[in-house]
Amino acid sequence: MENLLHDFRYNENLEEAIRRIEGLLKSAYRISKRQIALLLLQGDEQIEQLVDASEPDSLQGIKQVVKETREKFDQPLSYVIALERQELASRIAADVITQKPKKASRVSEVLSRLTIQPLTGIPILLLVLYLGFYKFVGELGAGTVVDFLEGTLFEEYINPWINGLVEAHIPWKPLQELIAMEYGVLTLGLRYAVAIILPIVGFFFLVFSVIEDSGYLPRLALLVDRVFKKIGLSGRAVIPMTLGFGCGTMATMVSRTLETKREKFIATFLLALAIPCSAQLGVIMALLSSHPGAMLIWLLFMVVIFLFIGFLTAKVVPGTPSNFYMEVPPLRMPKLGNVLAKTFSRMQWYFVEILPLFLLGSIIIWLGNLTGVFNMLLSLVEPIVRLMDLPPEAAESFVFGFFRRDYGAAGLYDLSSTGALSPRQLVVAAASLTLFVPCVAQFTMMIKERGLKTAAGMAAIIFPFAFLAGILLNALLKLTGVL
Amino acid sequence: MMKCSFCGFSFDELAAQKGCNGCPFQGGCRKIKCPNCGFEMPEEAGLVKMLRSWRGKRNGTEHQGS
Repeated sequence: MENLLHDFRYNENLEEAIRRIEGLLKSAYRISKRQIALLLLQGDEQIEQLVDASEPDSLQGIKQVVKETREKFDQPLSYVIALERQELASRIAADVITQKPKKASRVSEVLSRLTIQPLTGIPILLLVLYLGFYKFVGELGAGTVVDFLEGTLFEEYINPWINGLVEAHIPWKPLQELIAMEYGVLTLGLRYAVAIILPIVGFFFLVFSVIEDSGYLPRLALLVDRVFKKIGLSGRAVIPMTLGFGCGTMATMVSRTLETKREKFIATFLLALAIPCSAQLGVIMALLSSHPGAMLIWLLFMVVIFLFIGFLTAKVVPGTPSNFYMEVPPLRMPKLGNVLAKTFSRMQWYFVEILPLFLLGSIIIWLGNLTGVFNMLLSLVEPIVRLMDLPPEAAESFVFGFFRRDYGAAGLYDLSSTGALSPRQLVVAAASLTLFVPCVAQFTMMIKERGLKTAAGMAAIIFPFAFLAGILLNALLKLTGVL
Repeated sequence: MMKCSFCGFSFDELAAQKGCNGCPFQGGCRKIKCPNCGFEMPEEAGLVKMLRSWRGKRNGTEHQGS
């Protein structure tokens, strides 16, 4: 084995590039010049900075060698190098390991292949989305369960009881409004959190845990890798994108695991623009599940926006495409105990995070009402909302939405339950609310990860884009008479 | 030891926390990040841990994580 490692050489083109770079390196480094050369060929930014600091004159020549070598391969150099290393590792492993032939389940193997091949993988993905999210989260969770908790339990029993109690015992009207009535901490904040958002995310997390436990996610990463490459990302971006369907804030932070600055930028932008968080997604499923046509239009619209904007961003933002390879763990039957434990842990995590924020949201709205700031914000958003052909009350959802995405979605659910929105208005409101600026927490994370200038620039694009897209979608739907 | 739900990598929960240095949510997010791929999983809820340890004791084995 020692000989194998010692004698290991990359292909001729790479070895020649290594030799040329070694010759150009004049300074002494802690690691061998061969390793430095390999890291430079793989585009390691830190090593490039190190060489630039100790021998800036050599760097230009080295860059030229890297450029010439890149042109000799169809794949990125880091991928070529990794493949050769993997081959060596496999040879070493084959020399020293004797494996009993494993009786792999044939069904699992076939299914695994089917989920990765685009021709079968895409219909499987659509089936997972339809059954898991549309039928289970949308119709059962957000439809039936929320209808009962919000419509019956809170609206018919709890809220009237709280309102009566507050009116009878608290004489001061502003305090009455802080606790109860239209925007009260208990009648609005608690109701949104407990009766709308929690059951929806509960159902969402249950489906997500099943998908996660089955080993489907890494296969999804491989399936979308080719499409993601067109928008400047790679299959690796499935991790932040999938997490974005849970919480955009955390997903923005996870985008730091992506390889290049360009990928990080594109992922952050798309997360802020086109990926709805779990609660938002669940509420949208609930809003649109009774109108399958409206749901399909929303889905198509979001996919088109995601790909189109991603494609444009990839064209505008300079940089080389990154590569993606991963070892795929086996497909497995999800274990009920694991799925329930994960769902419960996620629900607890989510609830502990949102409840104080929802209550705080009610207090801020109460303060905004008291000072007139809330009405001022509403009057700013109302004309734009009207341009989208939405009732003026929908402006509240957009103002709420900046505080918390899920808070805004819950507001929209509340509005639609009064029957104030037609299917066309539902699609338009759902689409522009999904595109609308990220919540305060996500925006803060964007500043932390990408810097104030970049984050502010992204928000400045997203804000008018969301409304413009809503206006255009409404006009298009009206023109074609689809809804 | 725990296993990442995304890439299947096995890692030590405590060792994974070292990767949280420099994060503004440090200690506050109650999530565990896989050191191999960056996928995040929520920390197991107290109730789930309690149930697992109770089941482990009943079966005469200690909880080994998920």
